[in-house]
Amino acid sequence: MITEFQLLFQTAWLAGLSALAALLLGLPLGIFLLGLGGKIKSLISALFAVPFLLPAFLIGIVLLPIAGSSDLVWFWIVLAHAFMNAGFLALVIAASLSGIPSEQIEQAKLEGANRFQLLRRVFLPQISPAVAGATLLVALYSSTSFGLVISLGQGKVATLETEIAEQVLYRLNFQGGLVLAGMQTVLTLLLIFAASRFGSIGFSNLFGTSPVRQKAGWFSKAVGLGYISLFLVLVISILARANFPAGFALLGTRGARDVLNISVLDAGLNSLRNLVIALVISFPVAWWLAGRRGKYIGWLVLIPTGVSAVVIGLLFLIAAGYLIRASIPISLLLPIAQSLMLIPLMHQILKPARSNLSTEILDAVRLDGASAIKSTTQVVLPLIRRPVAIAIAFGSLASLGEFGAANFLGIASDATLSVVMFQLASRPGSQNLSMAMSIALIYLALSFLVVYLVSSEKKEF
Amino acid sequence: MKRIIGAIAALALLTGCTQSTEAETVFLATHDSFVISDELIAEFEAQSGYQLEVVKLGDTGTLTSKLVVTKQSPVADAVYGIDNTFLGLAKSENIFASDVAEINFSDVCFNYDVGWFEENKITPPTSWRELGKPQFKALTVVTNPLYSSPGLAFLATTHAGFETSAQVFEYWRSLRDNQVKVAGSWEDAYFVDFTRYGGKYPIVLSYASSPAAEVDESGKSGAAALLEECFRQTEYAAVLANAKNPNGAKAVVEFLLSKNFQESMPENMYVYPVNQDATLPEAWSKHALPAISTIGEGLDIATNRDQWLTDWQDVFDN
Repeated sequence: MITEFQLLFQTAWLAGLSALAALLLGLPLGIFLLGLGGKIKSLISALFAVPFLLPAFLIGIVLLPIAGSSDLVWFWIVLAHAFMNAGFLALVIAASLSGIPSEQIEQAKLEGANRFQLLRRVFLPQISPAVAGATLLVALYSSTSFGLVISLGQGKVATLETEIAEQVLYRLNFQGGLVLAGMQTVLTLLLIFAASRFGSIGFSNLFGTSPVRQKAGWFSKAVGLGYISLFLVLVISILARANFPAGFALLGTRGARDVLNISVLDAGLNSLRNLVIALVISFPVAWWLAGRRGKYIGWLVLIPTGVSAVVIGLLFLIAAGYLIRASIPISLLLPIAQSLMLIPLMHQILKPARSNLSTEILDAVRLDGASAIKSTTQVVLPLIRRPVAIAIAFGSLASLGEFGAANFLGIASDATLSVVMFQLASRPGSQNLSMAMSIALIYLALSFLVVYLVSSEKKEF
Repeated sequence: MKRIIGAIAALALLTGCTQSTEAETVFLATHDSFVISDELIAEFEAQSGYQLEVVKLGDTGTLTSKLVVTKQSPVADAVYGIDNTFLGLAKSENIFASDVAEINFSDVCFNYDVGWFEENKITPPTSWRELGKPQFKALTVVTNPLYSSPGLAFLATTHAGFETSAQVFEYWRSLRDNQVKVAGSWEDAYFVDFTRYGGKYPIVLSYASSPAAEVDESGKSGAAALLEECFRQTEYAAVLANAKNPNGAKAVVEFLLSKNFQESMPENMYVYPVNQDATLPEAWSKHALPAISTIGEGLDIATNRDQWLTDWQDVFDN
């Protein structure tokens, strides 16, 4: 029987290993990205962001037939986490590297620095705060991973999150579950503390702030092409199961044998409604937090990312019961729960943008007597409209693909796209699977298009 | 302040009130496998005058746990789908306001891929007791009893099938050593690992009724079930304690027992109706025969479940 401390250690191990693997993959991918320019760079950037925004169970569905009978369960889970997050880390790394003045790089080269020395002495020291922040986020996501650990782990891998689910949902041991949830929060704090050792945690502006290009070496190119190939395998695998275009024609239905409560189209409308409400809630909060000073704000914002989705989901479900009793619609609960996850992500994107704003401009606006609302809407927002667009795009797509909270609260007529995709994929019938994969295709295309559009924006402050 | 009130009003509009909570709405909590057609919903609503909202809360275990957690103010008025492996637990937590009604049953047993055994010239097993034998090495996939109700049902089967716990775990160790695969869910086991769906395991833990779903155009089923010593899963419905609409909940439970709903269950949920007047589909009389013998009815699952799961985890070292 595994003890609580073994679980803590295993979870920390999985989170650390996943983050490290994502970082080791993300580093050459970031350098590969930095070597690209123009539309190709925007296209590849969009492609790199998509796996990060996909519902995790979709990656599991694709990998399970390959990993199914393998004994290397830890390897497959770490690989899945690394694949999901490496592209995102690559974007952060490429953006951070593009912020390094080219004179510094030239100077180092003149002094005879080779590629490795350049990386170790010039690049890494300057990108480490942003990379530490992004890697921490990956570690936190990996520490609370559930679906991938259950499906790819074949019952052989237990983490704090799977044990919380087991104790609370299957053994009805709520006290034991709460103890484990407390340990998970401690682990979150430990991970935040560890990442803060690399300097103040923060992101650089995603997709870069300058058109600097550095030629990638053969290794980075090989890793980049390998990652793109893996992504294409994912797309082809989904496309093959989507039975295109027949699956699309069925999206107005409730699936074979009416397995869904509502049609996929209605679920899509629910998702859009949630997205709007979640953005209305989370963007102002993330914006306000990004304007605060003090390093502890950055830490506090990240804590909900490492809190058990099972615990949050159950607390909101209890609230749902009371709202139903009081005849109050429960539709608002899901976007509120999702906001807890969206705020840290949006904050990490907005924080560096707001921090980099010229204090002279802000002082001048203040001296002119502009109100806070006026200076925000007429000066600050236009100045950093690209990071704002990126934050809104990532927040929107993360809301659309969110599954943990939606699985608890997307009930009855409130089911979301991610919930119906999961329900269709896990019920018998090839028609249901083709519908699920058609939704996945739409989600892939939408994510790609949205990220491509925001990453293609040219004008900068 | 006006802006804040305006924003709240806008949010309320955005929520769309798609979830009607008027008095005549009745909420039915159930598991993810529940299926009801539009026609049957319309029939219920016309007969009873209530509007039906189906609230799916996950698998059977998750459904039970969520209803226990929310029992002071439940998210539904009635429940359907708690089975005999979780019934004792649900009763001890006092989540029901009425007696429970049996709605359907299904027999958990192993299925095998008929074509695979013919092609490989191996004689298929005749009982789950043989699955630890060398000729069936790396051929069987079961589901994790922690997360899957057929998995738990088979764990109970083995406890009913042997006299002592030592014998039970000797059997499970023989399965482990014979490279049995433990899938996370029935869906993973059946649709990923079972050879009929491209997997590597020609023996899968499923239901006696599953071969009916594998009938080809010639009328022959590609799978067969081992019908001796199966575990009979019975699913129940009841009015929930503290239900907001108990009368609506009673109407739902009565409807679930009606002939029309009962006749829809075999094809929609692959389970046998309890209503003797319900007619079974034609294919079921050939390919979905109930178990020849069942065991485990007398087990005290509520008391032993936790220990069984812990012991099982010890065998599989997780």
